[in-house]
Order: sequence, then C-alpha cells, then structure tokens
Amino acid sequence: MHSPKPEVLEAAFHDLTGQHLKEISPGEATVLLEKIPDLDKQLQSKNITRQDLETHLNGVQKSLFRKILDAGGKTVDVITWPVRKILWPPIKWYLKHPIRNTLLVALAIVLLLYLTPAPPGPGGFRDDLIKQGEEILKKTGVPTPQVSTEAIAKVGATGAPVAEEVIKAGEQLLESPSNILEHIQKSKILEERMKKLGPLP
Amino acid sequence: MSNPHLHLTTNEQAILAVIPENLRKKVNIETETLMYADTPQRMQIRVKNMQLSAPGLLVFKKKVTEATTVEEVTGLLSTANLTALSEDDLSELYFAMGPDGVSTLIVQMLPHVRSEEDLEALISLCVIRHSLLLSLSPTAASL
Repeated sequence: MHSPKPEVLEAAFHDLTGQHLKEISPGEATVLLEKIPDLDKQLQSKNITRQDLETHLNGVQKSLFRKILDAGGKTVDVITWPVRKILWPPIKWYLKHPIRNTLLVALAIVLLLYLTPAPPGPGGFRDDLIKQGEEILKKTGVPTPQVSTEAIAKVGATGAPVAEEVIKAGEQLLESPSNILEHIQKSKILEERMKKLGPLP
Repeated sequence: MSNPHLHLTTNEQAILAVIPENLRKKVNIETETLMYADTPQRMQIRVKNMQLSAPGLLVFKKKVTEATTVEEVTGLLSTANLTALSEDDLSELYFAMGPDGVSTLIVQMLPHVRSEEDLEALISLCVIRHSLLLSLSPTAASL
C-alpha cells in the first residue's frame, strides 16, 4: 500500500490543527499532534494512519537537520576545518581515547533499537535498558549514590545515554568498557528480544 | 580569521574551565539556549525511520535478524565495524540518537579535551547538537 502524498498529509494536518505544516517546525507539529486525544480516529476518517503522518514529519525534520548541519559544516570549513571532518572526528577521537567505546556502544544501541520491532505500548526497549542498567550496576557493585537508578531512568528517555551511564559506572570498577558491553550483550533481556525478532521483511 | 563558535549550555561552560587555556582561546563560546523535550515515543519514530545505506550495516542487520542465539548476536556486535560508517549513515544515527544523546557525549568529552584534535571533535559534536536543536526549534520553519 502506498503512503499518501505529502500534500494530502499536509492538508489533513491543517484540518486537524488549524496550522500549516510549512509555517511551523516539525518539532512543533509533533507536539501539536500529540495533544489531539482521538488522533487515530480522526485520521482514520481521512484514510490516513498515524504512522503516515509521523513518518512524513520525521522526514521533513531529518531533511531540515541535514540542511542545517551541512550549512554549519561549511561555516566551520571556511574558518578552519574540512567539511569531511565534521562528522568523523568524534569517531576518531573515541578510538584513541580510554573511553572510546562509549560512542560506539551508544551507536550500537541505537542500531539495536533499529533492529528491534517497536513495542506495543509505551516504554518497551527503553524500560528494558533501564532494568538492564540496574542489573549491571548490581553485578559491578557500584554504590547507588555514584550512579543512581533515578539518574539512569532520567537519562533513559533516549536509550543511548543509558549505556553511557552503565559504562561510566563500569569503568570505575572494571576499568574496561568492553566488559560492560559484554554484560549488555549477554543479557537475558536481549535474549528475550531476540526471540521476538521476526523474519526479514 | 575569527575563531569557530562552540555552543555550550551554561552547565557545560562550568566544566570548560578544566580545558587548557591555550585551547579555550581558540574558540568563541556561545551559550546554547535551544532546548527540546525528547520522549521515548519520538525516539522510537526516529529510530523506525532510520535509513542506513552502508552495505556492511545491511549485512549486519541481516545477520542479526537471522541469528538464533545470544552468543551469535554477541559475536556480531563485538565485531561490527561502526567506524567505517559514511557521513550519511552517521547523521542518520545522530538524528535517531537526538540532542539528549549527543549532549551526554559532549558532557563526557569536555573534561578530557587536551589537544586541538580533541577540541575539533568537541566542536563537531556541538555543531551536530546545535543543528539537531535548530531543526526542532520554532524558528526552523523559516530556514
């Protein structure tokens, strides 16, 4: 089934919110949509799904991000550095740094989220990560005042920082981020998620 | 030629004092005032719509989805070469990670900046975060 055309989605958005998508940012548009209580029902009457609209907004925002990033890169380039370096140095930096695995684990977790089917309700994988963080902290014996469960939960909203908190805690005791990565990989939760992974589309 | 701008939050600027002065002089500090309240649901949408193109990543995805044991996934993940990602794929990953994720990396990186290369990395991450925040800000519609 084909996704509705952008103009159809934009017209639907205007009907629902009274705002033109082109006049507000994708971030604002997302917030407006989240405030509509019976959004799914209203969209259904227009033969549009929430996913269609969210995917469209996501695409608009991503294009905007790339446009701004490219412009920022050129500005830096004019001053000192080649555009190519804008995205690469973080990777290079972490590779030669004692905590180099932090970014790689963060990226790996984003990849894992990408590979894992979306959970049916709120929380899902994020909650799994938080629980896993707690388990790892128990194993490493890190005192809670240093990295509290609340702190993990607080940063857990984005997924990736959870791994970072876990690594930070692990570094203090195990002095090896890769050991923590091993814990994450061998986790029971990951095993459960594996069982839920369906066949390739 | 003017120094590059470094957008840091006020909390991050407090950490900046630990960076050697000769390096601090090479950047113009600007206060990052843009904010975005991310949610797990928004991140899920970003992750779901990621479009990765590197052949290595596609092979990696295929292998992970075909794996039947945790050990297999462990092996795949520990050998995955994420350093060979293209700029496009990296920007997809940073976009999915969102400004909060990049902020955490910035905070952890800040106290360890000791060389021009480190500084360059910090500036890069700040450019990435500022771009993410700008794309989400109310003024983005006029860009």
